[in-house]
Amino acid sequence: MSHFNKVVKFQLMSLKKQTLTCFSIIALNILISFVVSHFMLSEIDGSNVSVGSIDIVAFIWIFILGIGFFKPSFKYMLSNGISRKKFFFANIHCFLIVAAGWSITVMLLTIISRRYTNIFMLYETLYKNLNALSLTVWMFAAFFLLAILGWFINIIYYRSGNKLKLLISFVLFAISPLLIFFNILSSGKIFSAMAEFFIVTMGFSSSLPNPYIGTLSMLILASIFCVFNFLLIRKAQVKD
Amino acid sequence: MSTIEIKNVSKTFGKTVALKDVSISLLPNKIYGLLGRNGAGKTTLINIITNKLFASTGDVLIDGETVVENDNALAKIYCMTEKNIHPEEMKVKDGFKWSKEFYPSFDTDYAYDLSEKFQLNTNKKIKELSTGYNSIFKLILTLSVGTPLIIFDEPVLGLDANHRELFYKELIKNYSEHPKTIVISTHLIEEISNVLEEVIIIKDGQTVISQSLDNVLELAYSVSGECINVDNYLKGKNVLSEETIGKFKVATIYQKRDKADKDLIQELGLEITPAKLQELFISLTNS
Repeated sequence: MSHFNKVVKFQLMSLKKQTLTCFSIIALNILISFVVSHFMLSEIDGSNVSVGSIDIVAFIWIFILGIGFFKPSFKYMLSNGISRKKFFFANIHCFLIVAAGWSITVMLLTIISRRYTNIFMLYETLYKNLNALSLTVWMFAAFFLLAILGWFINIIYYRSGNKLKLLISFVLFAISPLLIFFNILSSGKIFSAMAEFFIVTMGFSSSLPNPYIGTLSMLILASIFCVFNFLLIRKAQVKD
Repeated sequence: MSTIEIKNVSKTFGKTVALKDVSISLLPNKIYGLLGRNGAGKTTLINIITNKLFASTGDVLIDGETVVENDNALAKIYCMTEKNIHPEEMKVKDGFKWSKEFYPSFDTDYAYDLSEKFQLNTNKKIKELSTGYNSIFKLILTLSVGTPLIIFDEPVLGLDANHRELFYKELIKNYSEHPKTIVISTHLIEEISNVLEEVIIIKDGQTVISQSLDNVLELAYSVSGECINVDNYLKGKNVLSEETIGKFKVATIYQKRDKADKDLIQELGLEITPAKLQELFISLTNS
């Protein structure tokens, strides 16, 4: 097995416990949804009420995974003679495997759980369908993007000095109020432009929302962040 | 057999200069002592050699290939660092297993054999090990890794005298059975001096000495006697340190002695003693 595959294997093995935790939370969500909708709320109005979620739990988990993925393994890999370039590509490989694995898992869990309970799916709310193929492909892109974004945040914090870290934290906290402020100044033009952009890029512009446009947009955005991540990792040094 | 060439390496962190134009050649199958006071630049140099830091200027070559982002060159070197590099949840036995994955020449049987000798519990998590046993775990990994170049940065940190003795014995045994280039960076100079063949002393980011220990110790000596006689002898000599107690004076000199010097010592009635490595180190690095 090449060193590249060993890095991928190491990174995937390090996710074992976290994956099990996420899977348990999703299973608990499904169980709660089943119990609530069948034994509690159904008695009140007889409707199939939605409680909990599968995809949102997975989104949060993948984002957290991305955030915690860089620092511990970077030092370990460099100490084991792995170059930054190899580490970067092995991590991308790992994220692709995780995104693919989880998109299939979410699709299967959705199909199975829908037989027993009407658990909430963000994807269904957005695209008004639960087609297995489009769901899997869209989930794959969303998971990959979230992992890369989490990774980016972690790397940029790692590369920054204390002052820059403070500045980034401030910008992250200040961005929402600033956007609201400038939106008021521009008579709502900023938010409407953002909404328009979001509608077009996520495939909501036609009467029937198209998840494949959303998939493509998310993959393009993930690729752009991959380039940023590569540039940041290329010159990253070990900090003690 | 691998050679490391450190060519004009400098490193700055902001306004702090950690290394200044360091040039050293590490020859195959020799044991080097990398010595220097705290903050002298030893760990920075080790981190540059192992591609963990980038040199501001200069380059490090292993068998003519740069170490910078070079998997081929990096596969020839392993470094035991003072800091823990392993994931917190990893067990000792998993540390061995993954080292075998990354370094196919890693000798797992030897690692377990050493674990028994050092009484290291391989089922324990690395984060649960005491400081001493953490050092032992890293020592065992480094001794078992099988690369032609190994570096120990503070290898005996937290080790008791028995374990230190055992480590030095195992190091010599390992070296005689599988010759390799070994670099040891430590503050316990007297203890390690019996093991070293070559010595590199760094002061304020610059190389002060880089030569064989025998040569270094041949050049270094102390003269003692009455102040006036010692002062007469010291004229024109490379004096590292002087200490006066009443009318009595001791001076450490780092310079080759010729026949005239020997005659003068006799004539002035001075006593001469060979300097120990630690004394020489203190004399050289006291600012």
